[in-house]
Amino acid sequence: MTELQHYLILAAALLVLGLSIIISKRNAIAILIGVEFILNAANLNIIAFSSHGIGGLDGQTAAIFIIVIAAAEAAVALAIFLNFYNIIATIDVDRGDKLRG
Amino acid sequence: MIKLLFFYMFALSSVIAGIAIIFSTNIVRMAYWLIGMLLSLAGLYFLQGSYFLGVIQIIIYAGGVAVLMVFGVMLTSQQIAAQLRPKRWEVLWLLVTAIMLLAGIVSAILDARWSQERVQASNNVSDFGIHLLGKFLGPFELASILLIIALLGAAYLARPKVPTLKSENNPK
Amino acid sequence: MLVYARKKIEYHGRSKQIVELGIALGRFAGPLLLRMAPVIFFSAILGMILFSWIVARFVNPHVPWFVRDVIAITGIILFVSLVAITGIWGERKISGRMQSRLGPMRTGGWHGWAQSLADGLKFIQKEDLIPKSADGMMFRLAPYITLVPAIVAFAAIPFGVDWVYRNLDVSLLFVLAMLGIEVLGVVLAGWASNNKWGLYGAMREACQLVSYEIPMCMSLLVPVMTVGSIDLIDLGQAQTGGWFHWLIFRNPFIFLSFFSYYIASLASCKRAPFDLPEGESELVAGFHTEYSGFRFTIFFFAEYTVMFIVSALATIIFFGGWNSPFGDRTGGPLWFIAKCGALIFVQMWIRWTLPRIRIDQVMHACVKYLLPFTMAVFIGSSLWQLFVSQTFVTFALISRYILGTFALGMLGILMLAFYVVWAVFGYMNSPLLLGRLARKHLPGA
Repeated sequence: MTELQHYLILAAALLVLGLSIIISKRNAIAILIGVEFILNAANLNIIAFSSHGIGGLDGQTAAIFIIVIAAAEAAVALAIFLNFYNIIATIDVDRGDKLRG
Repeated sequence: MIKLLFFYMFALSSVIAGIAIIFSTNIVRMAYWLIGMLLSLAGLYFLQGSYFLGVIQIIIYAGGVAVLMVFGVMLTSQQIAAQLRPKRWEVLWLLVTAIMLLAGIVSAILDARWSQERVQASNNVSDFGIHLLGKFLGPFELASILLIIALLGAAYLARPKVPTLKSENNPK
Repeated sequence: MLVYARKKIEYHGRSKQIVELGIALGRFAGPLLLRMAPVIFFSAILGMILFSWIVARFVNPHVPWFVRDVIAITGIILFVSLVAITGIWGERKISGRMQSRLGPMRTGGWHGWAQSLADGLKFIQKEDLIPKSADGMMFRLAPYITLVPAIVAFAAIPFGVDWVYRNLDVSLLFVLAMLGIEVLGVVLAGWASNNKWGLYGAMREACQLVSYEIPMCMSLLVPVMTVGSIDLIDLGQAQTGGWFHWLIFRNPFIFLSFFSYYIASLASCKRAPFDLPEGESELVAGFHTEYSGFRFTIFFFAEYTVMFIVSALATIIFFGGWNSPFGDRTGGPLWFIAKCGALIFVQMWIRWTLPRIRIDQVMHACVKYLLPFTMAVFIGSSLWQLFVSQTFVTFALISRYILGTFALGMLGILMLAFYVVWAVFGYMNSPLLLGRLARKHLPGA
C-alpha cells in the first residue's frame, strides 16, 4: 500500500465518521461538526493527491477554496441555528418538524 | 519510517476524535474533539510538506470556524439533556452502515490505478499566490463575493429581533 | 476564623528515620539555600549558557537529530520561563516606578529580583481547587490550550540569522496561527468554570481577541507586501545596514501600520487598555476566576509569553530584528532581546497609564476606527508600491507626476486654508482669547 493510499484511506475513514456523526446526533451543532468532518476529509484527499504529484498545485488551491466555503457555510448555518433556538427554545433537530414559523 | 510513525500518530488522533464525538454526550466536548481533529489534520498537512495550507487550516478552521462553533454551543446549550448516548441497536446499525461504506471506498482506492506521471508541486508560497491570482482568478473573486454574501446573510439572520406585539395566531 | 487542623501523622521504623533525616537536612540546608539563592540562580543561568555554547560548538555535528531537537526544545522552554519570570518582576517594578513608588525591594536582596520566584513558590503550594460542578477534564485542559501554542510559536521565531529552531517559509503565518488558538483556551476556561461571570469574561475576551486579529494580520501584511516574503528571516535580512534601513522608515504606510499593529496586538494579549476580561473591578478575574495556584500561573505565563511573541514580531518586521542600528556586524540575539525588551516596556507603560475601556468601546474601536484605518493603510501601501515600483515604469511616472503635483498642490491649499481658518478664529474670538490669557495675570485670578 503506497503512501498515497494511506492518506486516501484515512480520508475515507474520516468521511464515514462524519457521516455517522450526522446520522446519530440530534443536536444541530453536532450535525454541523459532522459536516466539518466530511469537508476536512475531502480536503485531505485533495491535498494528498497534490502532494504526491498528481494534479500539481491545483489541489492546494482547491483546498483553500474548500476551507473558505466551509467557513462561510458554518457561519450561515450557525446563524440559522440561533434563529431556530430562539423560536423553538431547543437545539434538538427532531423538534423542527413543523413547516410553519 | 519516522514519517510513517507521525502519519499514524496524527491519523489515529483524528479517528479517535471522530469516535469520541459519536460516543460523547457533552456538546462542548464534541466541539473540542473537533478542534483536536482539525489540529491533527493540520499536522498531516505539515507532514506532507504543504506548510502554507497547514497554517491556513489552523488560522481559519481552528481559529475561526471552531471558535464560531464553540460560541454557538455556549449560546444554545442551556439545557443539558439535548443529547443522549446512542442506544445499542443504533450503534449496531451505524457500525454496519459505516463498515459497508468504508469497505466500498477502500476497495475502490486499493484497486484504482493512478496515472504514473508525477509532477512535483512546489510548496513555495509565491508560486501559490501566482497560481491563485492566475489560473484561479475566477474562483478567487467568486469566493470573495461568497464571503461577502455569507457575512451579510449571517449578520442579518442573527440580528437582535425586537419583540413586536402581535397575536399568536398571526404567522410571520 | 477557621483554623484547619491537620491530623498529625505518626511514622514508625525506617520511614521515621527517613523523615527525621529529611527534617534535619532541611533545618540545616534551608537557610543556606536561601542565602545562596542568588548565586545558585545566576550560576544556573550562566551554566545553561555555557552548556549550550559547548554543545553547539563541539557536540552539535556528532549528535543525532532528535537529541539536538530535545536540547533546542528544552532551551526554548527555559527561555520562555525566563521571559515570564523577568516580565512579572519587571512589571511590578515598572508599575511601581510609574506610580511613584518602588515596587518589590526585599525578596532576594537587590531590588526584589526574586519576587517572581517567590510568587511561583507561593502559587505552587496553594490548594488545587476545582469547583465541584465544573467540567473536570475541560477545566484542567484549558490552561494548557492557552500556554502550549504560545510556546510552540517560538519554534518559528528567529533570534538571529541562524538562531531559529525551524526555518519555515511561512513562519509569520505560523506565529499568527498559534496566537489564534489562544482564543479557544480562554473560552474553555470560562465555560468550564461553571461560573456566570467567568463565562461573561470569556465571551467578551473571545470577541475581542477574534476581532482584533483582523487589523493585526492586515497591518502585518503591509511590510510583507513591501518585502515580498512571509518568511521572518527574509523580513529580517531586508533590514540590514543601519537604523535607516529598518522597514518602519522605508514607507510611510509601514510607519502607520506599525501603530495599528501595536494597538491590535495589545488587544490580542489582553493588555490594558483592553484588559476587560481580567477586569478586577468588574468580573473578579474574568475567565480565570476559578483558577488558583499553579493553573493560574500557567495563564499568567501564557500572557507574558504572548507579550514577548507579539513584541518579537514587531521587532523583526518593523525594527530590524537582530540587526544592530549602527549598521555594524554585531547583530544577533542580544540586539533582538534588547529591542523586544524595549517594546515590552512600552506595553507596560501603556498599561499603567491608560484606563480600561468597556467592551462596546473595544468593539467600536476595532470595527469603526482601527479596521478602516488599517484597510486605508493597506490600500495606500499597495498604491505606493506601484508608485515607486520599477516594473511598471510608465505607470509609476504618470502616477508620480499626477499624484505628486496634485498631492503637493492639495497639501499647499490645505495648509493655506488651515492658516486662514486659524487666523479668522483668532481674530473673531480675540476678546475671549485675550481675556483668558490676560486674566490669569490679573489680581484675583
